[in-house]
Amino acid sequence: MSCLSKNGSGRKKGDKMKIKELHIYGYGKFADKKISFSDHGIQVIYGLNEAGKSTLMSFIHSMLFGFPVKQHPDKRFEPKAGGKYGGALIIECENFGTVKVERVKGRAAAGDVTLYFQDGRTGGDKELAEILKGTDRPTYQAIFSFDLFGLQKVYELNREKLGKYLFLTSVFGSDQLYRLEEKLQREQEDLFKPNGRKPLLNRSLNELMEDFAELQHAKEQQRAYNFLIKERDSLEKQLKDCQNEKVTLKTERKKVEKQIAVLPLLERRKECLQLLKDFPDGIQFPEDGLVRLEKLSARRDEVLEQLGRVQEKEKGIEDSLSALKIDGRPADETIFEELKSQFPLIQKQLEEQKLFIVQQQMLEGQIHEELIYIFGHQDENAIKKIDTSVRMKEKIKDAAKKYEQLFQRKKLLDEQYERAQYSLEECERRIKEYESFLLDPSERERLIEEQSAIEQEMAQTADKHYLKEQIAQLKAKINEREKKNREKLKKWKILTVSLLSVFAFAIVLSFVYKNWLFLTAFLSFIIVFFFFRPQDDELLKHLQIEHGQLVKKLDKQNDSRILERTSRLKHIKEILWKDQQVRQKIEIEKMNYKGKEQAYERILSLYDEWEHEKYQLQHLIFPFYEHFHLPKEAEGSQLLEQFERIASCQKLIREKRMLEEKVRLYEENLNQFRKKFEPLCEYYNIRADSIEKRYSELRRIMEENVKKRSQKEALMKQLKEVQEEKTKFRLTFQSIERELEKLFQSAGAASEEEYRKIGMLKKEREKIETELNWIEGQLRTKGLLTSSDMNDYQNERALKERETFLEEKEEELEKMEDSIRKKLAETEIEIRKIELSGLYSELKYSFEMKRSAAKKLAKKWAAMAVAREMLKHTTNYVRNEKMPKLLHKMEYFFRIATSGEYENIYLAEGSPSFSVKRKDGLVFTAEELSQGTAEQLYTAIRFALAESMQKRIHLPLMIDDSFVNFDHLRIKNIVSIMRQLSDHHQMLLFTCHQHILSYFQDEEIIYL
Amino acid sequence: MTRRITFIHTADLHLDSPFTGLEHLPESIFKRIQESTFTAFERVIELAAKEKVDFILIAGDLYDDEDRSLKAQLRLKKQFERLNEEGIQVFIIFGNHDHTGGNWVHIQWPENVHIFSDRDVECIPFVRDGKVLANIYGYSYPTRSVTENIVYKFQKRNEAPLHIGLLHGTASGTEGHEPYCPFTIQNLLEKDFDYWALGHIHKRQILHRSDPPIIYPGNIQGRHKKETGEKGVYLVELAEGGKSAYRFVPVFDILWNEIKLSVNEIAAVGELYDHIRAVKEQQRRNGSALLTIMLDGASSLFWDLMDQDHLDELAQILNEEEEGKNEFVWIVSIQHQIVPSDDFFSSSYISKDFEQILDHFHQFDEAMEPLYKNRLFRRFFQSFTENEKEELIKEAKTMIYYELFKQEWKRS
Repeated sequence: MSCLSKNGSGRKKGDKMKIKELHIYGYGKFADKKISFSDHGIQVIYGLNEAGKSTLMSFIHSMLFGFPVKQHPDKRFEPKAGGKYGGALIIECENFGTVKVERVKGRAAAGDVTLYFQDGRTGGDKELAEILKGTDRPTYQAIFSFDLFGLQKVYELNREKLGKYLFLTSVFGSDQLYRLEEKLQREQEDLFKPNGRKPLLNRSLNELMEDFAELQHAKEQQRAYNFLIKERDSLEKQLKDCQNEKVTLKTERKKVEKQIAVLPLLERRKECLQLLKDFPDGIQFPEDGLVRLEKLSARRDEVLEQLGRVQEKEKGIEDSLSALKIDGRPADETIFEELKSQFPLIQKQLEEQKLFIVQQQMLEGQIHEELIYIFGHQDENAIKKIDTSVRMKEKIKDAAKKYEQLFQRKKLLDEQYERAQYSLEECERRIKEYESFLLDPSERERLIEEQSAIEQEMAQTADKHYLKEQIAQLKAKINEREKKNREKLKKWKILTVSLLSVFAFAIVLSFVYKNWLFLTAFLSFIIVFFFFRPQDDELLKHLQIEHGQLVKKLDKQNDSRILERTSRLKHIKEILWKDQQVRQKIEIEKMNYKGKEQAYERILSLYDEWEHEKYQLQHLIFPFYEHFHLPKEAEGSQLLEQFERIASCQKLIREKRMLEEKVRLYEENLNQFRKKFEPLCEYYNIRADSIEKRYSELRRIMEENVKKRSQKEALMKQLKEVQEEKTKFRLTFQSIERELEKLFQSAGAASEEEYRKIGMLKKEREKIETELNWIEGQLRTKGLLTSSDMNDYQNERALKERETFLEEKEEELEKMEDSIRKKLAETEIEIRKIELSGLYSELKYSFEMKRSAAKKLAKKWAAMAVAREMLKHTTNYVRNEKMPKLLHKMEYFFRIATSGEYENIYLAEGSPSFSVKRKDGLVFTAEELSQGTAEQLYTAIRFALAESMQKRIHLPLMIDDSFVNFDHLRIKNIVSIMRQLSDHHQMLLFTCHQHILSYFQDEEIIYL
Repeated sequence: MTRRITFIHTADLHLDSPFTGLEHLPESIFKRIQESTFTAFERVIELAAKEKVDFILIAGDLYDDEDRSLKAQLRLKKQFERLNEEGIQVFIIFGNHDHTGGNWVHIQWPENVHIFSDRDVECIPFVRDGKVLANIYGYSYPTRSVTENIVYKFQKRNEAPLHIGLLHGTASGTEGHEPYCPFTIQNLLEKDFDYWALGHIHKRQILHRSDPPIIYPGNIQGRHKKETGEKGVYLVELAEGGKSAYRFVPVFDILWNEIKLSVNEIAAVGELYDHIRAVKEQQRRNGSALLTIMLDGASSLFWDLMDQDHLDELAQILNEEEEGKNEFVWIVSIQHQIVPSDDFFSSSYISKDFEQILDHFHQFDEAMEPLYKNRLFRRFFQSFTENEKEELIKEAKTMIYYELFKQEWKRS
């Protein structure tokens, strides 16, 4: 595309395209045929019928715009005999130079096109479209190629069609624009028609209208709200009025009701007032007079009765007193009380006393026994002085212990002494025994001398062993040396042999190479070698000599005497060794004996020490022995024993004393008791033998007396109380009598009878007064006690009537209120309904949404309308700007073609076809023209159209035998026009009429 | 101690007004959008309660149309009652959209709501603890169109520590809105007020930073694809003597957003789909949104994407998954400004004549005649705006080229 635009910008007045050569591979009747066109602007192709003119025309079309598709009205010209379909055009144009356009059968029906440019580039459809400036087959056929049939269409050409052609030429080279306009119109009409109902926008608008009506309705409903609110307010007011009236009625009715209820009370009040008038005046009667009378007489009766009861009681007590009799003195009872408390103790002590006496006797026996054991007599006093305190006990314990230990040590010493003496004697015995074993001293001396003599002799033979060893060693060394020497010799021999063989070889070599220097050197080496051969061994010889000497020396010493000497020496040594042993033992024993002797001495000195200590201890301990009545020989342990015995004896004596004391104390108590007890027994004549029996008898008597005495006392007290009561009742009775008297006087009555009568009258009057009071109270509380009220409502009937009237009126009002309430509730609901209903709002929203949708449709329509308007505008431009120019051109060509016979062409608005004006001024429609002239008109139109294409592209014009009906003059005219045109367009004329050829030059003609 | 007052300045609630430019929404999203103006407003109320402000200023256009949606009024009343419980006052003027000349249902407002007169500029004092802390001035539109400059009617009255003006109108220099009550910044400065709470312009802008601040808070919820970006209110604190501090607080529920997407690197439609999905997911992290995707750049996909039907289809596929999502990202449209990857159009095919004809096209209205003459269309739509005209002409041109060269392109 970019190259295109560059080309476009450099575009001149228009490109002239020229077909240079046709190369048909296979097309219709042609196969592998080349046709070259002349360089002239005009090319006439002449051929008889069936020569292939149409085929050629079709071929050129096909090459440029593709093979006709199968359903296309144009024939495809596929070779019937088979073979390659297609071919190539060599074209020349100013912008692209010479280009080969090759088209062969391909995948698409149009075939595959390949472009070959001068510079070697190739191209395809796109490049071809560039060259053709987008011209397509229909356009080309409409503008650039025409035939006889097309000429006949001149009758059908009208302004619009021409405009369409023109438009194609001026703008697009295709009729897409028209198709687009048609399409837009269709789509537009689908969307909206000014008076339609079905198109989308129309429908939307209608819907909007409906919605709007609904919306208005909802709005109206809202308006109704105002009315409803007013209605509600008025209803509320009505309701309030109604309620107020009802309240007034109700108050009045209540009043009437009250009055009706109060009527009986008023009646009774009148009666009461009348009754009060009837009572006599001035009744004097004390307050509560009758009650007081009743109370007083009742009390009088009561007091009288109580008085009788008291007197009876008094008599009873006096009788009981006279029946009660008591013996004995009251003082005895007090004494007995004391004895009674002591008696249980006395009884117990009597028992214990008996037990104590027995114990006392037992203790006495024990004590006597002990005393005799200790002292040998029964005197208690001796023992009392002895100290048996705890301190004394400790002292004794200590002393006795030490004394005991002393004797223990003595025993130990005795044992040690005995042992020492024994071992000393044993030692002495052993020494004597060893001395008996000793050698006589002279014998011993002899033996020692003999020993030293033998030993000297033996020293000489001591070397023999050493010699033997030396001989053996020498022998070994000799053997080794001999072995070594033998091996050395052997090695040397091997070396010699090998050297000699080398030498022999060397000689041969020397002869061969005649190198005597080498042989000489080798020879000298050999000599040196033999000079160092192994010598005889000097050392071996020396060793062998020494060995011989040693063997001789050994032989001399070997004899039996030596053996005998040796055994004698051994024997002497043994004896001497034994004697030596004994001497050593004696020595040791003697040392031993000295030690033992010392030990013995030490023991003896210990004895002395012990004696001394004993004396000191005895000095300490003997006073204790004496104190405790122990003989001096007694042992220490006995001292403690004695001490314990004496201490326990002393304890027994103390116990006995305590018993004696207790017995004595009991005796005393008993005696005191008896002193008081016995006189009483005597007085009451109690003669039982045991004290217990006497005591229980006395007790019985005493208790009885006490009981009787307390009875009498109680009776006396009662009597006194009764008498006091009697006096009190009498006084009360008298005071009541006085009060009664006073009461009667206050009412002015002489007797009780009279008094009572007066009292009854008074009570009745009071009752009536009370009732009156109550009635008046009731009336007051009902608010009817003012004098006017009291007098107004006397007529019950009138009141009842009034009440009924009021009730009816109230009922009426009730009904009215109900209906108002109902209405109000309805109104309220209506109001609430409107308040809650978002209907209007919702409708508004959905209306707005629909409006938006409709607006969108409208916009879509508007865009199409604008587009159409634009297209229309463009068409108008063509019609108004371009059409006149075209007409002008047509007139020009037509004038030439008709040799000036016709001057003007008209294309009236709305006219079905062209009109022309002859030079004489007559006007003809296209139908009215002769065949030839009509065809000339058509040709002029076509030429003019092609000319108008100048601005864009100059494609070859193809004219197919269009001039058959032309006279020679007009043909000439046409050819002159063609020549004019050929400056810009290659003109291709296909004809089968030979006479036409004469108007052209030879080189312009191709014969098929 | 200087006394301070805090308040929220908002305007152009347009409660219960439908979003434009949307079609065929799933139920769940439709409901959410329907509620969104209310949701945003409820957030304003929550903010007021949370910040314990003294009052709220609403500078006109509470409702979308002069007949005042009943639903909006009732919801508004509920929210105002809530403010009343919190002891927060509300000062309201009505604007061109909810002028008092409309035919609407009258609702009884709670006592904390103060509505300015439509006869003359009114002064309502703001009283706290028995003291007048500020004089608030305002004027409600009696008719839709108030074309005179009413600023001269604002006059400081009485002694008050602070003076605040509530004004619904067009400041000179703000384009694209009906020029109601036109005024200049200088007009406002001359009044020597402490704060000017403006309304009417939906895009938020600060006309004067301080002494006094003059602010358009913008609307609280975008309602069509041109109202992009965060929407909210201003939280203002004024101190005696005119010292001011304010900050923007977003309250919108659904974001309108336009995202430019370069297709330079994109070679296949599938890739583009993935790309837009990624964009969507990124957007979703910031909550629900309505997206316009603007494709630009040069691409070999030109011929694929040129056909608006293709793009609509792509949007539809992308939107399929959105129904029922908690936070949705709805592709409103995919538009393109793509050029083909090569210089196809500059090729020799197009006659200069033709191009010239297309470029000098003046017959738009003629082309629209059948549509404009349609009774129903006239009833529901106005003529296309200049912008739309331009777009449509471009589209038509593209359509012609596309249709004409489609064959060529398919061939190559």
